[in-house]
Amino acid sequence: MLAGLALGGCPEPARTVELAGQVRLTLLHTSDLHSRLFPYDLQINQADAKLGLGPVDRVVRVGGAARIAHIIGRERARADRALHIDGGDSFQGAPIFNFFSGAAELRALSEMGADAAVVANHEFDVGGLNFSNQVSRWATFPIVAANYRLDDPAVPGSSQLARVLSPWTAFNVDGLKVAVIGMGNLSSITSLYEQPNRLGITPLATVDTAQFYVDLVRPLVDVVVFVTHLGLEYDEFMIRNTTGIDVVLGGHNHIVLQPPQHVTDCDRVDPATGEHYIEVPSPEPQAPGERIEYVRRPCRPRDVVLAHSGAFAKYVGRLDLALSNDPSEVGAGYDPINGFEVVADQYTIFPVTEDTPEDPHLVNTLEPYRQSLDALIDLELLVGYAPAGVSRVAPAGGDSPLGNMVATAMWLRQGIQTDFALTNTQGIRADIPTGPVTLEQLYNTFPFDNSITKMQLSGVEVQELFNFNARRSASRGCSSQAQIAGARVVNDCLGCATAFTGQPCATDDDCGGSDRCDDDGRVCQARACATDIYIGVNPDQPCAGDDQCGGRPGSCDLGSPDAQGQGRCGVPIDPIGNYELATSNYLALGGSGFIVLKKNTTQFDTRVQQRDALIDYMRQGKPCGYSEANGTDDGLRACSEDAECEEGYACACTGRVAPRGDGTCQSAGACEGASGRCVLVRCRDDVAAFHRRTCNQARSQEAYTSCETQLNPCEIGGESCKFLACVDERLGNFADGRQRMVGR
Amino acid sequence: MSGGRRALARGLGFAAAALLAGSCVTRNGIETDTFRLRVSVARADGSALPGPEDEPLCLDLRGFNPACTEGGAFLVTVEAIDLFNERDLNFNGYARLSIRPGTLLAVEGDRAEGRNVRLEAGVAEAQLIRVTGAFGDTTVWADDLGYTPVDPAVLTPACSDSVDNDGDGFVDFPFDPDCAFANDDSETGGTYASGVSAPLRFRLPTVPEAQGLGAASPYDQEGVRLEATESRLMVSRIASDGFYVSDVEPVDPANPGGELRQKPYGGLFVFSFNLPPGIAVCDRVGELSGTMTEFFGFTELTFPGFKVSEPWFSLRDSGPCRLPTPALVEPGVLSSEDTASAFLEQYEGGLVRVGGVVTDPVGQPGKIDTVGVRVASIFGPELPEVLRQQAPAGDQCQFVYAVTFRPAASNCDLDGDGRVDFTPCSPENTCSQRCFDNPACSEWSSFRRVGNFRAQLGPSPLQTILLNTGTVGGFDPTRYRGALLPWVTGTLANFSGGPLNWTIETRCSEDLVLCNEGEDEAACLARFPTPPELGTTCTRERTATDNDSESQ
Repeated sequence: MLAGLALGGCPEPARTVELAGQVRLTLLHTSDLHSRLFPYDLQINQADAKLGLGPVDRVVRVGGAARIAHIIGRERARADRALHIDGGDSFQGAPIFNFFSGAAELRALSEMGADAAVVANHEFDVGGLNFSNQVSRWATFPIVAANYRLDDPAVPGSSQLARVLSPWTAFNVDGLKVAVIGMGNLSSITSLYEQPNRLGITPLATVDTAQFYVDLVRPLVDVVVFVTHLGLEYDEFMIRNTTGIDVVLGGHNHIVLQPPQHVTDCDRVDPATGEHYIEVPSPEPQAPGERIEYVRRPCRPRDVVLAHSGAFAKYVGRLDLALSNDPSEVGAGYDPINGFEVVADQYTIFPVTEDTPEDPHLVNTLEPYRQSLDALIDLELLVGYAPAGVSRVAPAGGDSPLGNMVATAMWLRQGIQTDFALTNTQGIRADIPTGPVTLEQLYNTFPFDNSITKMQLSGVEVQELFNFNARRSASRGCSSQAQIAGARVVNDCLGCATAFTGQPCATDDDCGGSDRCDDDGRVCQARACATDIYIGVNPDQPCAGDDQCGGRPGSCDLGSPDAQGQGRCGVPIDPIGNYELATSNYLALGGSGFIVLKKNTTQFDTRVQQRDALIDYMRQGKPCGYSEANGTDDGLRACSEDAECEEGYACACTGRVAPRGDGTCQSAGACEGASGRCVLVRCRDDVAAFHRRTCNQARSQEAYTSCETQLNPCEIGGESCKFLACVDERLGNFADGRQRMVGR
Repeated sequence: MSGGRRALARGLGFAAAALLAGSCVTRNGIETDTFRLRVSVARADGSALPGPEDEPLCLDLRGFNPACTEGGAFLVTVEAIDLFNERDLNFNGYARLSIRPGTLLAVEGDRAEGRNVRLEAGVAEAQLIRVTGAFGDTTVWADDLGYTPVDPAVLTPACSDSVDNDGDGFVDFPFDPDCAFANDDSETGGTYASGVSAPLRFRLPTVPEAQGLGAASPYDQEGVRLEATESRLMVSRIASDGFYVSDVEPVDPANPGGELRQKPYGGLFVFSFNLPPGIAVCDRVGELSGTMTEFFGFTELTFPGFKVSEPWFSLRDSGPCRLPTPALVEPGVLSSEDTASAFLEQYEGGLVRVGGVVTDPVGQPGKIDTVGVRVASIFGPELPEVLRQQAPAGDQCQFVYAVTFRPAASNCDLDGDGRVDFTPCSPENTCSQRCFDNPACSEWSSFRRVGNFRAQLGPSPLQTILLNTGTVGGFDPTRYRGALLPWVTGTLANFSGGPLNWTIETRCSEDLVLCNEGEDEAACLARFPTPPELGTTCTRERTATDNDSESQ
């Protein structure tokens, strides 16, 4: 059959090409779009600024599928031979996914003309059946994943996913034959390694699978491209332990590799002979259940190009490969089985900014979704105002301001009100930028439709829970994998020594359950652990520091100081005590490895979504400038003119504000009878600018002037800032060291 | 049928359809036989380039190394080649030149136009290119973008004339994909034929060269492969988000057991986001590559690829760990910003230590100082007293603020929003500045955010340095407020995020030498007249960790 795959079928001019010498291949790469099909506001960090997305710290409107489609179309036109390959995780991350379950994402990729994509973990967020149905209906391109075995041996042909996934695909691009092999995610799909699992997927060993398919396609094609969602470290690991891959387009880490890495394959060396080799499963038949025997295969090290092109529709990567099968160019040791080798490469990253034109076809494709979303939910609804944004980054690796706020919102939610709350750090997907906080931003921050589950834990189980979190955190750079409220803890990533630590061992069983036997099987090593766990505080024990609570680290809770600036001493957990936990249903079901929660039989799913809890919590906040001392009903200082307000505040009342030439607002005249209220100037300006966007879409100056007059953004800004919650420290927007990390 | 075979069959379903599709030679609809460009390069004097066995070309380090002239100019010939591997005599157009890695400064010659060369009858011969910043295997690229450069001051280019000249529905740059640039006088696009030269073989940069032998790397935002074969790159610290390497001077054959020194500018932080797997202190790194980045003034290598060539734990029986002796940061060098930055830049990313006993302090020969390192005595979470007053007339601020610190009150986050507002005239900025002016003061919110606190080496506000002891589990710096530490060792980081830039990050508890509780300071210092031996301090066997990132 393979011999029959002859080349031909060219329209005009009907010439068959046998490529020789140097040729060019351009790979256009998108990855981790995460449903950002419409442009969104992003506060630019330094990394994004260096890549040209915008000025650092400025909030700019980035992303959008129609802009990406323009770039893809333009770069295709500017390339000799081009393929657009997507790195997966196009699902989940913006409201459009919550309402349309991936249909819009697949339609957008199809409209862009994607040539292939790999399936990734978030494609399964609404289940395997949804994914296969959406692909069947909307995808016009092959979706690949070689490292999933999909068929249930007991019921052949029963897998829905097997209908829509293939291990690899191939293209003839102007005479150049290119294989694209997919490697789906293995690390982030809950319960993937449980057999059977909800998806019916059997994960296959990365290196063995990759080498199997390279060996399979190498005789058929000129170039072997892997599109993966394994993560950077596993991409490198796969390359180093295989031979024959030319290019890897990776995803999952949300990073841009600019420039791409060059990783040497066939990396193992026999110290005796100096010969390079890889290990492959022995071709000798092996009995079922027997450990796989590996044999060495000699090979020649080559440089493999590894590119990652970012996430959230912020970038499109273009990788230009100069390929050759001319031995004089490829160098000594060229093996014709490898077809064309990469002799040089260059990579360009295109930021998706406001300056990027939109592809009109894709705008039209997405328009029904936009209108439906408008009808379903007011994403522009303002929830609060964040004077300095809210960061999900934990400054010392423990608790983060946004994490604390989310956990507090769960903990204090009416009707939930547990002893403490815990949610996973990675579930918080984006910072809240400085400025007005919209419902859409909270969807972007909290895209998962997770609900809050309550359960009862004993003190021993609480310890077990935090021990697990400490161990998981230790393996992730000693950065806490959970965010908490109502509790305080020290995560010791260096490990807590036990009686077994340092003792000789052969397996983990020799180490008493807490320690683990190191990889060389020599001595028991202490594992990361949680110490100094406090749940709740003693109201009768004020403190200004840990030394007033016995001196243990974190024992004085200063997170919510009283009027005298005093905190309260925490209450250490009691092993036989009973504690009620609020967590997400994702973790409660064992997500992210929290088996300690999964096995709990007291679970009660409240059906209150985490996102809703956060929204409601925010909306209960007080506006910027609020103080009971102001003596007004709304807590804001009464005023007639700006001079009566603190620095940074302006006196706002209806009819007494006008726009400046630069779009900011200025008070115009006094508010009669101290009817005005002091509002944060930046809040008024930012909310006005937010509403002015409506006018910015006006097609003529006349329409703009009319819009500005009727809408009066400055007045809306001033009035809104009288009630919009100020998302600052008073609302829990701070990191207070409730989780201390030792050993970072 | 086995699972593997079924998978094969599924794959072939897609693949067969693709491979049966035709292979066309249409070149973007343009009637040309040009299939690719051939790029040949020679030295500027016409001689051949070095081969794999020859001495490589020198590094100009973007001007940092003016002695390197041979690596800057080359002759390039570009030919249009047809399908039959012959010169396409009908090709008359421009090819755009570029180099990777490095920067093409200029193209000079009778066919040069900006960074383009004009091919006539399919060739542009011996055009001089000037390059900088090249290293390792560097290639010259030529691309037919369909670019016809014109001077907009002389002629309105077709790609800027508001006309859809080629009738494809797109008008001008950047909307018309066939416009390479705004000054392109052709909206018809190119053949996109291209070619690269054989590699020009430059030397690989060492760590000091990648550091730019100073404050800024000449390779900022560029991917580099560092020289790690001849150089001895030792891992000096493992951090939660990367590791540090030191480029160590060769062992003196006359004194093989003697002290080792780090080369000036030979320290480097390798940022890997997470705890780097399979690498430990004292390992020798045999391969190191990544993207050089200036992160707020701190030179680092990001997205690294690395390989341990000599894992120390497998060789530990053959001798002690051979890290370079940490450089001593004396109070004298911190007396002025110039001397401080000149000295500290040399050791950025390297091992340093502070403390101990200093003889012959600057300007006072013969005198002996006991210094140690004193933790700030004003250092705590409470808010200082801030008194607002009307600013005097003519002052640029409306208000001025008097700030009174107390031992436990150095928190300048006055409004409690989690960070200090550095806006001029703001009370928080004033508070922060006042704290900096007092060498005994360490601003609290900085410690709360990133774990850095200030320590004093001398009386001047400049004679202070930041310490980060987060790796020392039992050490709470607030309990040592105002206390003397005999010695502190660690790696030196630099962030231009405030008035204090330089931070010594301890690696483990052995890097922090403490006095006993209640011990007389002089007696304590006398107990530690010399710094602790580095030996095997802070070495810990590590194994590869799995990528266990989460889905949510």
